[in-house]
Amino acid sequence: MSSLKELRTRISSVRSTRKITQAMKMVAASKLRRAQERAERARPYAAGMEAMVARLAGTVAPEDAPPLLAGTGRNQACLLLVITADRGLCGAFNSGVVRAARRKIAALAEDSIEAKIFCVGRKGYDLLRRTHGQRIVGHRQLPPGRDLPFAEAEAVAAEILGLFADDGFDTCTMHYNRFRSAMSQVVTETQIIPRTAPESDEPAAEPDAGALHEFEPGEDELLADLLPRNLAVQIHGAFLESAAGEQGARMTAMENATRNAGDMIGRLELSYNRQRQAAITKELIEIISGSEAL
Amino acid sequence: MADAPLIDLELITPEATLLAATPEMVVVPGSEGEFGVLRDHAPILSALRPGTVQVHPTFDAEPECYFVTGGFSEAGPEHCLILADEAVPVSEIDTAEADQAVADAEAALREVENSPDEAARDRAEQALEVATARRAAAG
Repeated sequence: MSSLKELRTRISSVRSTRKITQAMKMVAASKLRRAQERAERARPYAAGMEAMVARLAGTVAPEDAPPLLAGTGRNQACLLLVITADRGLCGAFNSGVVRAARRKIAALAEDSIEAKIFCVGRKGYDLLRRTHGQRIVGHRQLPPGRDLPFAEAEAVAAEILGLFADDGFDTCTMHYNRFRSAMSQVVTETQIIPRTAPESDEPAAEPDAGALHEFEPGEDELLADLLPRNLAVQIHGAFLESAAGEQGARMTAMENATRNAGDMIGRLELSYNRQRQAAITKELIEIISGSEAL
Repeated sequence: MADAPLIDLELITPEATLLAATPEMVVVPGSEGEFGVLRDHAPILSALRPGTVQVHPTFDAEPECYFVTGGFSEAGPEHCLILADEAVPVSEIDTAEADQAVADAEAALREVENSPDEAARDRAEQALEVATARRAAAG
């Protein structure tokens, strides 16, 4: 049984912890709103880009298609782009993505495909470095601050394309948290090289019946421009989703922490009051029995 | 002009939708030359070069101009979609700043002009092209 004084210190320390978690929850909530808006603003561009690529991809004969579109024809090495947050205290946000990546690596190993990892975000790098350090071919931290400039995604895309051009891998999948609502993030795996049509919630736009497009410059040049650009757009989209998801996850985690702290304070106060009452009763009994003895 | 043949124009950058309007004509800086888009334009998919997108609300009205650094554009009979890498309203370009950017880009190009790194040379040349076009757009 801890003493009254110990209990008092304990209560005040849990109180200040609750204050911190509550503040963090508020901060996450307001950051979440901004992150969500940003993710939404970026969506029309991604959708337009996807439509253009789809239109162009339909016109190119499969045997002429560049490797980014049709693949290298081999399947010996796979690059995993693992997108996590730079900071913790957001529940299972980071570990969920890392767990998915580990599962994927195990599955690839069974098919004797070599797995390579490219980490974005410090947490994923820290977690994967211990178990899969030799597989990590690159990592990158997002700049601090609330903006996720497109240039950042372009830089990551450029590094990945560089590896691809050097025959570093044949396929590339992206693992990240997709933002579904403030309460739930879904760990998502998307194949980005070679290109696959994204599964969207909306029905795919109907192809213009018989609309023959003119292409300036030619199809091949356009595709050579568009595909790397589309890759950057997809990566940027994942960054934004992940950033919004991170804030959502942190908000939920901090809300739970605040509630737990509140419960704990309740329990501690109960036992504090009981002990105080017991001490008072004991003193009273001592006084009464003392006076009776006289 | 209730029956004016309008086109649905969208000008989108990775960060935001900059403009959604229904003008009568849009002039787009295609990589193979500028082209105007009116209603019932034949479907076209074109890359963009650094230049100015002119949006004419009506044929005889002064155009609203946007500077784009590059990107892609798709036009059809009823719509025109411009996916710009970066875009700013021309009115927001600071002339002095644009001058400075050209000077900087020229200096950067001179630095790598004789270097064996072809990619760096290409990049510098592209940067200069963008800066020059930006300066020209600022007027």
